[in-house]
Amino acid sequence: MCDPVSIGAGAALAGGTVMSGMGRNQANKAAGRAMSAEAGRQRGYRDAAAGAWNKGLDKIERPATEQGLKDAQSKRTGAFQKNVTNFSAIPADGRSNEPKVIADAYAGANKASTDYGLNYGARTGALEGYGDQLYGRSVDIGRTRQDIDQQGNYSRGSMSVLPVELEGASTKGSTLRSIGEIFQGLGNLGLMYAFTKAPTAAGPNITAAGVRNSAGTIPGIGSMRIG
Amino acid sequence: VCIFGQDNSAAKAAEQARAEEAARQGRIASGMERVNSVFSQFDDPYYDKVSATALDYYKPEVERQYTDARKALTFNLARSGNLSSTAGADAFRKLNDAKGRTDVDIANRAQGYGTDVRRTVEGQRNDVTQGLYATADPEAAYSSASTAARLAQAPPSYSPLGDLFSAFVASGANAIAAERAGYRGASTGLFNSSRGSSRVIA
Repeated sequence: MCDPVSIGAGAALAGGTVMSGMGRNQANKAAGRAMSAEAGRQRGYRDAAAGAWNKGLDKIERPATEQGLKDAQSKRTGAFQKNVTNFSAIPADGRSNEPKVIADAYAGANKASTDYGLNYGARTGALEGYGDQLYGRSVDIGRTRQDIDQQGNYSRGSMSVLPVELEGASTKGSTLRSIGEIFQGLGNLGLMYAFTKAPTAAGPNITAAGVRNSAGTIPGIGSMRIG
Repeated sequence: VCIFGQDNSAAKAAEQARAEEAARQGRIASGMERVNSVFSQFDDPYYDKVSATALDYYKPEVERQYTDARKALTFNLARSGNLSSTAGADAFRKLNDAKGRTDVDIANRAQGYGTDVRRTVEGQRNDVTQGLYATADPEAAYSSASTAARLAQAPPSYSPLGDLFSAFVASGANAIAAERAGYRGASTGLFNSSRGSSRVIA
């Protein structure tokens, strides 16, 4: 067993095993790196989506909502009241030298109508402000959803590349693994050869043709000769 | 030698796939910038302008009808001798109240046009964005966004106004005339006429 073939075969087998292990290790490390990098990217997309969501949510929190409603009502009311006629400023048609009581009645009626229009504008503005605020909120939510969709799209796209990267990673160290496997095969063959060639004192000799003892007979079969 | 080749090609395929994904994300990001740029023209001042345009459409018609109604009421009241009276002032108050309401209502309608246009633009923007996410094609997204922007700039169709004040002219003058004639009329209580369908029997 200490012949050069056995020693060489043993060394080839051991070396091949180590090389195969190193090759597998390289593949595992490459797969780990790919998964770790993807996890980092996914974390980034998640954080970006969460940031967009929180930003969107800030706009619907109570203080922002209350302020938004006030602004919407104020804007509407302003637009309505700006358009209301000041009836006191309209010159009287066909009336002159009328008694004071009549002039006062007209002045009072004009003021009442102007006040009524302004009041109606304020009431309508307060009501319509809710609709504007709700619509503005819908727009904000829609924009937030677009931002989140974008990150979701990136996330899905990036994730779809991972299997390809893992496939690529699985071939890392394949050269080492292949050479190691060749060495392992050679070692196995060498050892098999060495076991076959090595003479034994009394034990059976294993050959490709069968098993025979030193006398060349198969034990238990009597005087039948082999080979 | 084949084994070495296999090692490289798989790694290259992975690198290429990652590079293509990065490029796709870059295209979406640049596409979004273009979409935002195209739609940035639709801001609050733009929608305010839509509302102002709608108001400019309605206001002259309201003013024309009001002026006509005011003249008609003035003539009616003058004919019946009620122009210089508190009943006349009351009839004008009713007409002016209607004008005040109409002023607010047309301003509200004009604001509604601004909101409608905004709703349309937001819908188009959403469609364009979803298209960009699906195709990652900024050129197609830009083209869709430009088309949507052109469509949004087309003037909305405005509904014409109906007859706004004639009821107040007729009812104002007629009610006073009726009250003067002894009927219930405008219920001003200003005419203590003995003419009527009721009669006091001693």
